[in-house]
Amino acid sequence: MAGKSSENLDVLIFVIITVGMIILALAIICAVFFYQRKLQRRKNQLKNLEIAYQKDLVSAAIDGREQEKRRIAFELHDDVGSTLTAVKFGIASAKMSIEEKQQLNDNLVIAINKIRQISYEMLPSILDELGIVAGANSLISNLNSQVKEIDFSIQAVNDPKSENQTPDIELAIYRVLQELLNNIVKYADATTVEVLLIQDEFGLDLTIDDNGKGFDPQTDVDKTKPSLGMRNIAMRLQHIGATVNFAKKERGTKVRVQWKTTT
Amino acid sequence: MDKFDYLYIILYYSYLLPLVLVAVLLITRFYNRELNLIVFLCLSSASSEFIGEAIYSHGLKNSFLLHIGQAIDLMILIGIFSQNVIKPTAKLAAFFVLDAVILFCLIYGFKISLQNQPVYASLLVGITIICLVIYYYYEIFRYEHIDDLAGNPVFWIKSTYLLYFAGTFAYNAFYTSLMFGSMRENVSLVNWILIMICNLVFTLAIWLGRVQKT
Repeated sequence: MAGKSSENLDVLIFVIITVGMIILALAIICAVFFYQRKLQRRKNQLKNLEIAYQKDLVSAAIDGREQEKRRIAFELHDDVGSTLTAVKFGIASAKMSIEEKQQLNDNLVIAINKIRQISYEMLPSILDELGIVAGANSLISNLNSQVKEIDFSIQAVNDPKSENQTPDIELAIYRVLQELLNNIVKYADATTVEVLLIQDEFGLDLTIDDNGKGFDPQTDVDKTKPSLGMRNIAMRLQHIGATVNFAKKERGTKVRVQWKTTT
Repeated sequence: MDKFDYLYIILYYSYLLPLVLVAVLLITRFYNRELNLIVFLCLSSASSEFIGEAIYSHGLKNSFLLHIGQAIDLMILIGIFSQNVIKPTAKLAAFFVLDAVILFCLIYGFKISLQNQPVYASLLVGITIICLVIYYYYEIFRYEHIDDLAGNPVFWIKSTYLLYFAGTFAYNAFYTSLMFGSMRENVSLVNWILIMICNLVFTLAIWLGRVQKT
């Protein structure tokens, strides 16, 4: 009888300890699980805030640069350009030989044109007035007149654009096109460059195909010293949520920039 | 057959669950090699259970398998407990502690004879594993190095070990007084249910750790 009650007591202690330990273990596991999730959520919120802050910084940097360009373009066009034009008319009344006047006049015309050109490149008014397709056409036509060694051509689809395609987006794509064409002129040793620009309700799709020596940003860029131009391209595209893809071909490079509208 | 026999059959076949899943993952090429240690652990547990049952069915004592199985499990656990642990000194400490426990289990096994239940060795193993799991939890908060705890197989394996050894603490502590009484089967039931839970969670861990194809 005494043995039976002692066994019952053992079983009772066993049950209490076992149930207690299981509850304790489950409580610890649940506490770890849920508290870690809470920590992770807070960590993700912080990370998102940091990303948003970085985006704001990039946005402010790009906006600041564009404003500065705008200011310099206006200064060049309205101030320096007008001054030079006034000097040009002043030459007519100056006491000089006709040859000297002609020489001075030619140099002034070159300077005025150059300033107009720089001011236009810095602030392409056509972009605001007629949009990205007209801007790209104008850029190609300017390049054809300036760079005789390369044959630039453009094919464009100018369908009605998406409501989300703001002037900022068009300016970013235009600047990227400018930078990529500039790189081709400087480094690619290309003889032909074909640009395809499609604008439709789904977004913008820009393809630049050249027959130069080829370029792959993964292998041809010094990782320790990435080029400013490439960094600008990446920054601008990231800012507007566009993508860029470089494909090195047997002869030349095909670059595709895509901006898709979000619904 | 009474309810204990049915339960024992379920327990017996629950060992096959993780192994069947491993076979399916291997066939479908979703098996992740990082799960090798967990799979070895399941394989070791299942083998000692099936071999033990085979020996028992021939009327022989199979307790020696508990000692061998425990040592093999601990060797595999050395590998598992070094996973997801950041501090190198903690990894080294876990390695030496588990080695010492393995040595103790073997010496203890021979001292009490391999034919007897390794009660105190199991108790020591339980306390050691509980301490290692608690340290693992500490590192989770200290270093915040695991992003998705719910999808981490190692977390589930270690948590299952915590649950198992916490649940069998009294079973091991009171083994000698309980196992020879009339409540023997009821007491064993706790151990069986916890082993079944372990096998289910091991299956879940293997599923979570499979190759994620996009």
